[in-house]
Amino acid sequence: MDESLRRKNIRTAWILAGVVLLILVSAVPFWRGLFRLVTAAGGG
Amino acid sequence: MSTATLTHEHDHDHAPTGWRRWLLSTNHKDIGTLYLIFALIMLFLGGASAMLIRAELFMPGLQLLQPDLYNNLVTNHALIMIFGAVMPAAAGLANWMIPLMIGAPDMALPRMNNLSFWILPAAAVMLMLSFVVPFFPGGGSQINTGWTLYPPLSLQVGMSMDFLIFAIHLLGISSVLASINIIVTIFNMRAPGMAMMKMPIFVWTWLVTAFLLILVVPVLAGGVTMLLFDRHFGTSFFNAAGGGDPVLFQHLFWFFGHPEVYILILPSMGVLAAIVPTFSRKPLFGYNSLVGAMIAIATIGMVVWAHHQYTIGMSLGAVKYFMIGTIIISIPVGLMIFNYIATMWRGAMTFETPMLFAVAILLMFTFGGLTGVMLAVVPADLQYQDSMFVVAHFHYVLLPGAVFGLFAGVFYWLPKWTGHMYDEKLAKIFFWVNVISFNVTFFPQHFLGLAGMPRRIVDYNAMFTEFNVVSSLGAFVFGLSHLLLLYIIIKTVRGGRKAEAKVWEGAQGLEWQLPSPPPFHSWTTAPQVR
Repeated sequence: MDESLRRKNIRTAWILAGVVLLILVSAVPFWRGLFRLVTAAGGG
Repeated sequence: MSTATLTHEHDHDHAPTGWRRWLLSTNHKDIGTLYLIFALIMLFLGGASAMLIRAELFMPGLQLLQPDLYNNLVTNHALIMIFGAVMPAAAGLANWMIPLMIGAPDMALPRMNNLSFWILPAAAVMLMLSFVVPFFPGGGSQINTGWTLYPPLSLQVGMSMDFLIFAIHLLGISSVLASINIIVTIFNMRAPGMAMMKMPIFVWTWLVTAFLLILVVPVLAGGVTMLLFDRHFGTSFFNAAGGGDPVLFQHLFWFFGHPEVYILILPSMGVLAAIVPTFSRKPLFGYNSLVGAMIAIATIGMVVWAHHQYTIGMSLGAVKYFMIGTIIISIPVGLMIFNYIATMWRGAMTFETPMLFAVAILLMFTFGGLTGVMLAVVPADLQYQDSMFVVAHFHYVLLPGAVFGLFAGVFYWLPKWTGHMYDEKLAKIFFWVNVISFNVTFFPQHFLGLAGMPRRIVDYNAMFTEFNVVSSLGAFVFGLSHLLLLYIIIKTVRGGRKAEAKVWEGAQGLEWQLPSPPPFHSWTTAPQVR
């Protein structure tokens, strides 16, 4: 595997890892907020 | 489907030897083999727990298991089968086949590939410890929550729940790393000329699956971490006594749990897209529509999770949305099924074992899908919910839709991997025993559920005895039939008739241009895809 392809692979992997981390850290506030919104609208 | 000109391919075939070959492996074929062996071991562990469950349910009353141990077995059976058997087996197929199919020399991140696999045995140990710990003094109560881990029960279970939460974290890390690797491989490592819309459908299914995994696994990880904090650090995300709400966990869990069904099924549907054209001797019907259907399934599948929770008391608007969304999924799923049937139409079909599995899958998975539409309808679901009907439904979806697809893939590619043909006669015996006993096991459970037998209950009313006896007898045959599968695989690995490069007459694709078995380092020179 040539060096430029190796670097491209690692760069793409870091971008995807960033997406995973973003979802992980936003999961708690996002879901609590959505849940409050739904329950406030008369759901359960 | 693509064709390629084969350049030199037989050099660099020196594999490392001894334990280093496996422990330190960065070779996609070896890691694929490790995944498949691991999955097979877990299949037998999960199967043993299933047979214990069916042994207990053979007759009414308590024979073998106390209620908490029974529920612990139910929990472990699901987690082992989903995270230990099906997902690693699909990852094994991906590791073996994706680089061969797209003309890549290996996975994009080979060391991370090694890490993804070797996290799995550690996770499996944690998972088994969660089962074993309650048997020791001070080990606390058994995990009686089922795989859904709903609070408040999961907040009250002893330390075994902590082992389970950490096992889920490890399994999640392994899945996410493997998914990142697969996406990067497909995006960056394709051979010249291998455009996205020329990739085999199996590669497409894994691309969609990998994206699903990185989108939903972090949410499960967040959910179980919140559970851990509620248990040990005084938070009240799900603890009603502190102002939290246990229903929030259900949303978090099923936001992961429903796409997980597609994560399990899609790779097997990709296997069918390879098998059906091969044994019909026709090109795949509707390639573009299949790709579109998969993307639609993944997209819609991510926004209909709450059909697992109709009985929590959602608003009418929310219930209507989730019901209609769920039913809409049957359109792209149906499209997939029709594509495979149209591929068979007027083909010169032969019925080797992989094709037998493919036809059986189409029939039984469609049946499981139909009961899924029944369950999607709210008024009906309120009756069926938490009954054996649901158990029958998801086993008809997941065994044909995921497990049988993996079996089909193993039989289809085993000659390519080992260089030997498997014993077709034994394989056909395995197919018929396996499929018939599967139906004997799970078909009666529809009637049990409709008659009112609840799921996850160790004992039952005497009126349910007959169907339970039939179901248990079927389950014993079904479970034991997998010993034959093990024997066939071992026999094929050890020897047999030499397999040609193109094992199946009608097979198309880059992987069939390599010898069987492929050299240790394959596609060291990228093929030119036309």
